[in-house]
Amino acid sequence: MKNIAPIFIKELKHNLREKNANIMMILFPMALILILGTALSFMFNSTRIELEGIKVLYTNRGGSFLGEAFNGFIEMVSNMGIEFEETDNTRTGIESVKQAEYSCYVVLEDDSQVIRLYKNDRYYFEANIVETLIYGFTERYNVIAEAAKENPAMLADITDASGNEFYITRHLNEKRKPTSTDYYSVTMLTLILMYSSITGLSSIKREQNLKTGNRILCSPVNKYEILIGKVMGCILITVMQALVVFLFSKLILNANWGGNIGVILAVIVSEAIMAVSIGTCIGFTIKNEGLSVGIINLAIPIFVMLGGGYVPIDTMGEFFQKLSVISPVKWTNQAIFRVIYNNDFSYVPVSITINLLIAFLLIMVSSMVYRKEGA
Amino acid sequence: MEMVKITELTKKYGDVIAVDNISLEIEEGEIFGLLGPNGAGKSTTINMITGLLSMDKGSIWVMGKDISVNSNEVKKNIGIVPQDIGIYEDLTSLENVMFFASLYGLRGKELKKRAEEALEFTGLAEHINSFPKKFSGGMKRRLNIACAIAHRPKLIIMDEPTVGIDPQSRKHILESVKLLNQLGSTIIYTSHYMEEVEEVCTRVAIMDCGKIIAEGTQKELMSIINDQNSVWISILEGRDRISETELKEIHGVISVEIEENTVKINNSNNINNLDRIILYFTEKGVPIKNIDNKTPNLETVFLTLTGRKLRD
Repeated sequence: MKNIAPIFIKELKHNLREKNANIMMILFPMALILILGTALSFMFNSTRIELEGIKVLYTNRGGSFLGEAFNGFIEMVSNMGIEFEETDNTRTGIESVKQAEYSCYVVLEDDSQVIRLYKNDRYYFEANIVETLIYGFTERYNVIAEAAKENPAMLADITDASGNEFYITRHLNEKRKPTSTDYYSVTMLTLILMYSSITGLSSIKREQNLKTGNRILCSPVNKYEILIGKVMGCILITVMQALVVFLFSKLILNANWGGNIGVILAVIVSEAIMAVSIGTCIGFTIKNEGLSVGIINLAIPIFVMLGGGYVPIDTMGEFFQKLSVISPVKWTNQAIFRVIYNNDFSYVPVSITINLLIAFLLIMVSSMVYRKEGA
Repeated sequence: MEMVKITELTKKYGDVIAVDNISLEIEEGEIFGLLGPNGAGKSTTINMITGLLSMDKGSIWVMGKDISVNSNEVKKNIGIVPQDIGIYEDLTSLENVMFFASLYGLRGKELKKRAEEALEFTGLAEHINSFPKKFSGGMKRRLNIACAIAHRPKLIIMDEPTVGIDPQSRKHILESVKLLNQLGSTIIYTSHYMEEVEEVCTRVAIMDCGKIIAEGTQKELMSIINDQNSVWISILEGRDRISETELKEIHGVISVEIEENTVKINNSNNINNLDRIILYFTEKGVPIKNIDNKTPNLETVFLTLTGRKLRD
């Protein structure tokens, strides 16, 4: 395996020096995110936020008036779908939020008349909703408390008039969904990752066209070392290109990538491995380079479309939704979206397994064809 | 010591026999020439020695090791200069040589030192950091050689290393071949340029249609045609009036080669027929500019053995 390094480094040099390919692989998805994110924003209603399913833990140590008012607040907000659970132990409450069992933990202190809120960043948005509601509640409570001090007779009028306005004015009724920019940041990245199959293809065709492949085969290098070195070099350059696009979407366009970047990166790397392996296999099995590129350029848009790359799968017909299971891009996209928006990791192993299994099979085919070619 | 021993080597492509039951022995320190026209089976033989092609029959031993058993061990000691230039145009000369040398286990400072030496040896020291896409054909050929010698192989196989290059680069390459041999490498040199093989090779095998039709030192090969002489007749005009068939009908004429303004005639040594040849040209109204008696060469040997020219 000692010969993998020189082949890997050589592949990196080739790919880094292909300016046009690098520009295409980086600028093309950036432009698509901007164009599609703007042009198709009508397809994504980003202001609908769902409260159902938000879980809040609380400890009510409020004085009689504050405590009663807070209980009333909980009763009203519970009707909107937010689940409240009570605990007496502050430490347990904080720990539960740390463990992401609840979106946040609210503590009413009886002596200081203070409401403390502990949030978990994983539930950033949900916790902010609760914070906003509590803010509304405290505002309302302060007005009533002041009124009670100055003129207790006014108290009934104020409470009747105010009703439930402190939360109704927020118009919050759904969990956050991706904006068009959020959506296309993910799907255009997974699209361009699929095009890294061209990088794998070029890596093989380069050796065939320049007649260097035979020269390498004449050296005391195992063909698996050649294959692994080549594929690794192509994967690294692809991941580097993907990172540039990722940083552009996150830092410049403020696209939402959630808080689990490591998991998303793992899915992205697995897709890069699969795509490079597709190109490598096609490079070995189809001698005609033009035909090889044609096949890739035909297949990728189909897989990307079925993966919801251009429009969300749920906007396509039932037939396409069923057909989409054949697209590895669908599983990759779904895995990433679920991680970002639901903290749901269930599709991650599925997606990574599919990608790596396809890659493994194609590398095996490549090595068999390579043996035949070199024999 | 035998550097290469080939026994009953055969390679077929369907019904076509590319290499037909050849046997060869190449001694350490030789510059062994494989001479033959395109399609004679030279490159197929080379590709089987380097392990690129499998053999249908026979065996190849390099430095006492069977290549079908010790493939990688054998490959470590071989440097191949392929007929088709095999270099990367987007890597510098140094990067090219370093990459190929690294495949033979060289690393670090030693790798760089050997690569620089190889480039200096091939006259590319001034172009160490240049990209080959800007090189002339001759410079690319020299880089092609540098990539094969940086790991100091004991056996260097050069497959038509001078195809399509200028005379200056050809001269440089031929001198390099002799120098590499003096430095201790055994060399197998394939070519269809008779002059090159005559200049550098210590022993020659002539291949045609997959077979070795003659083998030996140049002196031994010339002895095949000791009973012949060669007459080159330069003409001023009237080439189209001369017939190869008619000339061959003259008693003593063995073979005829008609070029643009020169007619090359191989004659039997013990028959004096020059007067009849001159008479033929006079009768055809073709003015003779010059008559030159030539010493026979490997081209003549090939022509005698096959009835065809090397570049047919």
